Amino acid sequence: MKSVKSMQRISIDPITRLEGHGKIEIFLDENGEVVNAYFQVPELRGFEKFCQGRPVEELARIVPRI
Amino acid sequence: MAKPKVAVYWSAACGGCDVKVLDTNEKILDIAAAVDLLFWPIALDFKYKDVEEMADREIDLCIINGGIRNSEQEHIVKLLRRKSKVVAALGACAISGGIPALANLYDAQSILDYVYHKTTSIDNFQGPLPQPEYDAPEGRLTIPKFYDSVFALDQMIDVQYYIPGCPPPPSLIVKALTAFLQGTLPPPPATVAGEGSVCDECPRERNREAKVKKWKRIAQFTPPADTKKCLLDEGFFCLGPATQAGCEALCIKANIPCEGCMGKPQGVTDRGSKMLSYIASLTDASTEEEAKKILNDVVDQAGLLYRFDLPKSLIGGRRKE
Amino acid sequence: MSFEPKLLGFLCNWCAYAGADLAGVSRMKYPPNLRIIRIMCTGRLDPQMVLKAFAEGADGVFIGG
Ligand code: SF4
Ligand code: SF4
Repeated sequence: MKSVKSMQRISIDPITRLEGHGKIEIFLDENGEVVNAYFQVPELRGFEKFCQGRPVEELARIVPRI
Repeated sequence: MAKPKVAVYWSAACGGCDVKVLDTNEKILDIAAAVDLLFWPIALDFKYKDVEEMADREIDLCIINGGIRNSEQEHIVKLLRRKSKVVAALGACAISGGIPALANLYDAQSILDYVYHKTTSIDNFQGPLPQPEYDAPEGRLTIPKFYDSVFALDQMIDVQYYIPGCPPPPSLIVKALTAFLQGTLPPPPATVAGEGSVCDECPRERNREAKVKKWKRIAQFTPPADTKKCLLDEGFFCLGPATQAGCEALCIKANIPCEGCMGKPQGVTDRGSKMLSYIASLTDASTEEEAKKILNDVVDQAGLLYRFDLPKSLIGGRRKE
Repeated sequence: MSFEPKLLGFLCNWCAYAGADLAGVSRMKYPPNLRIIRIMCTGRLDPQMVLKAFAEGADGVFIGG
């Protein structure tokens, strides 16, 4: 494992021109080679939970706003 | 003269409001030509870093859609507030929490637990939940903190203008932007919408004598042959009388009862209870028992009456122990 | 510690409020927990007002009329 110190980080925050929120973190080693990249989605709404118990025909009006 | 600088941001939003800005069709070209767009994640490639580097109050108009669900959104809207002269809340989520704020009926823990452990489509056998910080071998990664509740924009920052709707009708967006460009926006705080309630724009007519014996679900809906008959009088939860005008009663014209996306009309504090008082006066009951029986048949009263505005309602959200 | 509830009363001008007034004039005593707001008719009472009372800390709401 390469040492964390020498690792260069490129953050793409936020990712743009798409529907949704996201962030990409890319780690480069001392030669500028990509070691690893992480794609993070920071969004959560909880539709799975708060749709419970609602009339099924109302869901057609609720979940499009996801 | 320099063009006014405009930024558009979405926080806990679905993207519908941004799409409605584009739905101004050919007018979007005039708007784009008249202003300098400094930030608009769905359409332009600017980063948070670019916003940080702006001077304070550099943005002339910042349009924000979406409520506040997590720490990143709180941080960004506060940053944008500092960088902007005027902030406008676009859409039900920014104004009053919107659909995502139905989550306020539950706390963060039960939502996370359900979503990441219990849904049938998930296979999370080790059971971890998203953590705000994670030490990857290459370095520390962070994601925003998921708040216990959703907040409306003006519960976090000062907001000068409100453009309601879920999503807001493009005509209102054009109206607001035109007024901004011509310098004719009313003194803040102000809502850019129609006059009165949705009933005032609705082609159907309320019958003052109407009484309702049974409240129906929209699944039981067959549009009354008579297109003049009011849906509320027919026993459907039409939120028209307790909803801000401005949408030209789109849904009702399509035979769907209003769900109240335009938010509360002027002068109303708590829209759900206002609507409840319409429901109560229409309900045909002479004793308390009878009224209880009729109203107990209504499934999901919270979801019908407070669909778009739990954070700004008097009931707030879930029961506090 | 004994519980001292804060009660808010919405009383109709024509009956309950007149009654409360008469109780006062006749020097009848009642606990000070009830704060009274006179309304011109109970029909004027809006559910918003009741919710607002609870939201602002009332333990109970009394509607007379
Ligand atoms: S209650 Fe609904 S259907 Fe009836 S007049 Fe109002 S908006 Fe139209
Ligand atoms: S009729 Fe009601 S739900 Fe439909 S657009 Fe208008 S306010 Fe929204």
